[in-house]
Amino acid sequence: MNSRNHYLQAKVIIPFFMQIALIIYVVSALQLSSPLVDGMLSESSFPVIIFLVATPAALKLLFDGLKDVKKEIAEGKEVVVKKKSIKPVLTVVIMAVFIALFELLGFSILAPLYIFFFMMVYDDKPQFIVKKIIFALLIAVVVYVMYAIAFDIRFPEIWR
Amino acid sequence: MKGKRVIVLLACVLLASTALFANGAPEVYPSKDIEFIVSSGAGGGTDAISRKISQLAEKELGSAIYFVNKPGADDAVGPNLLMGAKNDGYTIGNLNYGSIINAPFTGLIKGYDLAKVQIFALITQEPDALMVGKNSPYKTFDALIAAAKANPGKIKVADQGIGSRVNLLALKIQDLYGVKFNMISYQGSAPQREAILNGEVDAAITSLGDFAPLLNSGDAIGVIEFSSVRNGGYPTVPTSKELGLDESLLSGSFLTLAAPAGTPADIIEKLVKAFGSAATSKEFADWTKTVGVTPDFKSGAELKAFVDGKISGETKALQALKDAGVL
Amino acid sequence: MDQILQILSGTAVVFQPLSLLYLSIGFFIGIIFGALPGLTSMLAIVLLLPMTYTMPMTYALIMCMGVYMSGIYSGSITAITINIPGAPSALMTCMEGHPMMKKGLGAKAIGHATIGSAIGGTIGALLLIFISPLAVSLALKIRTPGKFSLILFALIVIVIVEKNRTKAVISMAFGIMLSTIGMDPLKSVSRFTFGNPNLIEGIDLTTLIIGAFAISELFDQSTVNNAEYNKMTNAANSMKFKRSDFFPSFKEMREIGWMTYIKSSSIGYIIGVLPGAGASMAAFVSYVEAKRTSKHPEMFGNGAVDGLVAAETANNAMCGGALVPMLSLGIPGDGTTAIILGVLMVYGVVPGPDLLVKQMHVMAPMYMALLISAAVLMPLSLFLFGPYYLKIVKINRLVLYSSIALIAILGVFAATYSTFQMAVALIIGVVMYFFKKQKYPNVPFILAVILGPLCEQYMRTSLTLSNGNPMVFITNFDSLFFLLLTVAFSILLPRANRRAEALSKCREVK
Repeated sequence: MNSRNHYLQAKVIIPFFMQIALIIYVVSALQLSSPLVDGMLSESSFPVIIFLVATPAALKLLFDGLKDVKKEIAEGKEVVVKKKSIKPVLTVVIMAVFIALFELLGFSILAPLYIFFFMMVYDDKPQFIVKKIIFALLIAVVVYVMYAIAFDIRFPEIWR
Repeated sequence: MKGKRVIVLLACVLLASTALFANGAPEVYPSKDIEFIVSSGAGGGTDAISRKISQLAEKELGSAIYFVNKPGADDAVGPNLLMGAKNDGYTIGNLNYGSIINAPFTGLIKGYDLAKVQIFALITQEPDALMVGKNSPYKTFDALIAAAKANPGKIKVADQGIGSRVNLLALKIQDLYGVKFNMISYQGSAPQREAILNGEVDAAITSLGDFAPLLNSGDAIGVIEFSSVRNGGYPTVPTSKELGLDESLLSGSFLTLAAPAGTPADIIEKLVKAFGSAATSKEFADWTKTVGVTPDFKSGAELKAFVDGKISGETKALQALKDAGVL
Repeated sequence: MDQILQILSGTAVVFQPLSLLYLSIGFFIGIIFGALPGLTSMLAIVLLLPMTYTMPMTYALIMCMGVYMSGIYSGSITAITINIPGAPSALMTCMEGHPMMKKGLGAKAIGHATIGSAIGGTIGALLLIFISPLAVSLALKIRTPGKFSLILFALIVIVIVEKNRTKAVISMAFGIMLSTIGMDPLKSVSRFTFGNPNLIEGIDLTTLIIGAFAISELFDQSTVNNAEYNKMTNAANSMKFKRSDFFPSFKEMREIGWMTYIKSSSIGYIIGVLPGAGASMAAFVSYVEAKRTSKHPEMFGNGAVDGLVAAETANNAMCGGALVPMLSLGIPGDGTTAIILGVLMVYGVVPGPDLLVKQMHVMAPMYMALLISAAVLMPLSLFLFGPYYLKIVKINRLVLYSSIALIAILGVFAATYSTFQMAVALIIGVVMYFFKKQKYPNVPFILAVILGPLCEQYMRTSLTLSNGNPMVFITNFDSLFFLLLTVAFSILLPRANRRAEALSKCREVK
């Protein structure tokens, strides 16, 4: 019986991290100044208010989540591990690589590759490769025309 | 398999073409487009002046100038980028009051150092002014000071945030005349205008140009401009020099152009020449009147004296206020 | 008089060929985005936002109006044909439209939905044009403490109308936290940058919106099975209709009753004026009201044309209403107007009475564009594309989403010229993806991003005006009014929600 998995569900994790974030937020605000300076509001008063409003909400969600988990454990329910698709992760990876290399390699090289791999991930299985390459080039050209020519926005390019 | 080969081929073609582009060595400056880093967001006054002056200078340079807006942190984000840019003359930018005075003083951005840029031209100056609503009882500067003396902390003056240029000016006035205002912070000039319109504040400090719509419609009155020459667009507003005010109250924003330090001297010379003739052109003079700024082209030693004078004077004032615990 | 002259000159601007082109493009984009499930008109404007940077403002606003009007309307197309609301506002349309489709009355349903939307949209736009001067004179009376209370009202109402209020509070807090990163609005200090120089410029509005809406949606959509999607949409493609089938006859409209049209429009407009409620709420309230007064309530849920018309009329009348508080007070009426507010901010236009009094020439073309979208383009599009509407979902999904993936991420770059901001958008996208999976609502997030910083500024400015005395919020009449309104809504809205829930449960049982 692995009870750790029970506690690693989103309904527990999200409020937990939100609470952590709120604490970091309010501490870093209070480091700037006290919320009241000579009876006047300062730059940290609003963050403190947000902290005070959101903390009960985050704690309530956290405790609700924990209560659910306890009930699940008591009932001996196993966490239903749904077969999760890897696709959202792949999408994130493609975007992250695109962003990381964007300034280095520039639009013309990256954009068609980005679209190509994006379509590969989005499709059910790797198929119609040539068609995808053509579409990738076409979309890149259309987007380039839209941004760079119609709206005069210069993207990084390897030769710049 | 087939798809992979196509990708490889494609990459080869792209690489070959980039190599071709890279080989054509430029001989005469400028041989390609110039990037201009604007220190404020699209649509503001700084942005408008930068675009207008570049549009005029483009003709003489013979090369297009395109804009990258980098607002934020007291106009220091854009100049900070400029400091790290390649000093080949293809990246220039603007520096204004915030980037030259506030940013080095507050040290918000690590490694921000004016020595990393070469300021090559002053384009415009925009003196600050004090405005009141049309029904205000304080239509002269003396009346306002007298009222502030009689009611300490009661006269509400709209500024643009603690530590801003106009806030500094109000603090200087307080200090000099021994009065106390209730200073109200607004973000930018638009809410200041609204505060004057609905009577929330007694007076507002910013440039005359910012109040142009209200001054033209008569909803606001310019009481004083903190400058030595009258504003071409609003000649009825008296200057602080005429009224015999202390010289330390001369205040206002300005717009200078800069390139990264180490940009070759011949390139700087070309830029100064092109922007100089643009800044002194009649077209620019006519245009500045509509936005309420004063064209004031300076370069070389004259510019250096201007910038150094601003830095020492204003920084001293800021330091004094900081020591007094006001900031 | 001046008002009318400026409206007329605004009309002249809209009828220039280039303006008409932008309006039509916007309208067409809105139709596509509205009709496709998962894509909303809000996203369309988000994607257009960075592109509008270098466009003259008038064209940008005209285009937005086209997108706004058609995006809300076209959600009904997929709602009727495949029983999936293309936009959330078409939820009620689904209930009545799809049963009609199954009875072979698809063309009639689309026709009634279009004409209802056109009438609602037109009345909403007219009310906007002629009542907004009144709103302006009222708005000028509102000072900073009043504005604070108004924003407080909006933020509280947004939380109350959500189903899960605790989660709404968290979404909102998250939005405010992100929007306060960077320079303090009223003092030269930086907050929450943790020594990272990239964070000093703050997180751009475009970064936040694209991350939260476009990018998170892309992760969500990546798990959709392509073959199944195609099968589902093919069903819609197999049907054939004649053009004339699409236009409802006068007789049918009289049977529905002119009062239904007028009442639904008024409900839509008023709900639009209330910040935070939005099109779904407008459609819902109007639908419930139509059912209450209908001669044949038993038909509802089984293809009642008047229910369909009431919902569609109201959600488009909402457009005109939602623009009123956005333009005169800077408080967006719904998510889409929140982003149009962002467009205005890009151009340095600050909403407020100042805007409507001094810059009427800016607003007039926008009003006219809204009016023309509803009164002319909607019926015209029905005539031109009616038969193809049933095929709109056939656009290749891979092409569509990969284009969005590129346009969205480049949009962040175009707005900020910063790869750091692109990375931030990606991170926000991932976080919002998990939020969405756990049913955290995203409308409070986006409104918090926009209203949060204003809320803070107004609060601090009000208190300096009063030398730190918090009584300023009660002694100022305008502020007191909004505070009382907030209290009233906090009591009344949950009660209305419960009643509506009970009603819909009733229907389910039947």
